[in-house]
Amino acid sequence: MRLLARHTLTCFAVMLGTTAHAQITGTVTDESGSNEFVVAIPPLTTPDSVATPAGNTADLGKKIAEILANDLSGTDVFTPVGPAGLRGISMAEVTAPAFPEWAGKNAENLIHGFVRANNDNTLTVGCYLYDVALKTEMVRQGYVVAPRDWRRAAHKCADAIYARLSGENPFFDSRIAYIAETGPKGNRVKRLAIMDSDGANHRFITNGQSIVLTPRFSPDYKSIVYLSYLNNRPRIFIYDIVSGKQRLVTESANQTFSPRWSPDGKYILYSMAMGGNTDIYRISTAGGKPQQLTSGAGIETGGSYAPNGAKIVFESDRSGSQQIYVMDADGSNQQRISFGSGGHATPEWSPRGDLIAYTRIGGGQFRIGVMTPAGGGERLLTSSWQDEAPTWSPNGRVIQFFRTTQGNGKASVWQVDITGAKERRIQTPVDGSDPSWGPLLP
Amino acid sequence: MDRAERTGLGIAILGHAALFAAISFSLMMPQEPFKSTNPPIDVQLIDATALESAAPDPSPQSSPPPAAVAPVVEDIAVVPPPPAAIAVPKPVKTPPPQAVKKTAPPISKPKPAPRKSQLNIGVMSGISDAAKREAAARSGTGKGTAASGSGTPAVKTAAQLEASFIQNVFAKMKPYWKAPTGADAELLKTNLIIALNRDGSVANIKIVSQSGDNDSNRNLLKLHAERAESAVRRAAPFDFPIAHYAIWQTLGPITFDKKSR
Repeated sequence: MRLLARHTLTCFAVMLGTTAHAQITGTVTDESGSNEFVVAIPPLTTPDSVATPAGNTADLGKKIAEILANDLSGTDVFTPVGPAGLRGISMAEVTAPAFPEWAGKNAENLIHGFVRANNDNTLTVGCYLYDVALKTEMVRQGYVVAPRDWRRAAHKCADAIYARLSGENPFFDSRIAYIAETGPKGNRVKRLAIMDSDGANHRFITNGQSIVLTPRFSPDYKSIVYLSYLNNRPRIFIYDIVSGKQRLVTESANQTFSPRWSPDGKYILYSMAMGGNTDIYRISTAGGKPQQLTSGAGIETGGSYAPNGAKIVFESDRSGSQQIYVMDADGSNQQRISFGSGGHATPEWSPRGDLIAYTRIGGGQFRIGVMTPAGGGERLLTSSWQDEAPTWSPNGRVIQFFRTTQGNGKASVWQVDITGAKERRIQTPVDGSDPSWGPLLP
Repeated sequence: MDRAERTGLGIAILGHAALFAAISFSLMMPQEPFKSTNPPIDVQLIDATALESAAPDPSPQSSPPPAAVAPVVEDIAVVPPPPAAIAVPKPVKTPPPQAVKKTAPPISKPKPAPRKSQLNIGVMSGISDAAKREAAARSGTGKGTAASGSGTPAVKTAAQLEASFIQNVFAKMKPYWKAPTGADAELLKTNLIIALNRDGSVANIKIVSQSGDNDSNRNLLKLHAERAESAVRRAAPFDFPIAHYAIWQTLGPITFDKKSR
């Protein structure tokens, strides 16, 4: 009996030794498909309902919540709920949310905020993001704006929330230039227009007397460079947004087109057709003599700078089909990066530097794709009859492009996340093409 | 010795002689094998035992054999309801505005669903295939358990308990783990070591390593780790028996991945 008891104790000791060193390890996976957070967005509150040039502060609170919901719904991070159907909140709740109530509505995150009219005729927009389950504050921002800029305050709030939960840089507070198209097929009137990233504050820049194409905002948003067929000659102009005046970038008897800014805004990259050959040039925005970057037979066009300005991606048909090449900023070290059947055109270097977007031509389709600057990891993001001319959001996460409808030739502006998700049309007053997403507003 | 005694002695001698003859005869005949109505019991010695004996669970012969790894249950009770379930709130009388201060309302800890016993609940859907294989391997894949249909074994092995904890840890975390999205985001992995208090709450979380980053997804590394941590904290507290605290006081490294590889 004593022997049995001793044996049992020995086993117990061995067992303790075993369990003390046991490791519970493994892998938690997430293969649910959707990773969006349900975020409740009740109307922003106000300490006092005051009339302002932009409207009553209580009404502004609701409108800002609507902008937040619209902005965030376009990403693959959020599923917004509200503000319609959600109760208003008190000022006290802005910093002390009723977490159990929102948890009961299955909200994972919660946006609260307020709109306050200040004595100096400005508005303060408070913006808060909470984690409902953990009851933690994740974002607390305040924006003081002129009443006319109340929408910017909403976009900035959306940016702060998006950046916090996505890990990406912000992009909502930005503008888009595009070509507004009207008139019948074959006789389209094409005007330069600009708008906010959500389509608001739309404004026509040119009157349509001459066709304009390929607009690009300058890095400081003060100018737009574009191609104009003024007097039936394709030439590059810079439009000064403040003064409303335009000027020719370079005087030449040859056709010039496909303009792009350098990242520092000091140079314009463009293509020029001369004697049946097209090459890429660079010229200072202050004028002077252009520098030729490519040479030889073939059409080289569509140059786009890397964000650090050290390299340029462009397209060339020197191989017999349109393909993408990368070269140093001085034109040296040219290397082809796209291969395979079909063509690759209109390359655009991501502002983040990691990817190049392009138009993939093949199989009776034009599609939007991305690849690395070394040419690997090619992924096609869209599949329609004709999607082309990609342009990057300021944070390099979303791509806009234009889609032409088969048959009637109508064009519209679309956008898609680089994961291929959240493809959606951007509403414009008239048909739209050639979108160009500017940087984050200063 | 009188007559009666002699008669009795004679009968006894004859009787023993007859018995001896009968036994000798039977031993000389070929023997039939012993037929048993019960199957043989496989007995295996183990070198690890649990801290305590789990009471045998009497079960009829028709019950399924005890699985080394709990069966897969597709629907997890703790999965949050879909977003569409958000209801239109009724207007409520809000308190008058007051100076902003931390007024933590009485909160019943929000949970996606009522919690059940976390021991032997038999959920595996939160575990990747690799983890299931690992858990099965750790528990011996059924070998060494009692014969089929004989009920749960009298003693649970440490490996079995560990597998059970793994199942429950992963099933609880799974609904809360939302990997970041973006270019090449699916390549990222975060490894955590989680220290638990005796009440099952999280004492500390340590990021031990991350991998899979490149130029496209490097900006998501911080968020990846944050969401992994958040999944742990949302899943906590864990309802493990205090008697086995030595096993579950430290979890990990646990890998948070977009998908099983």
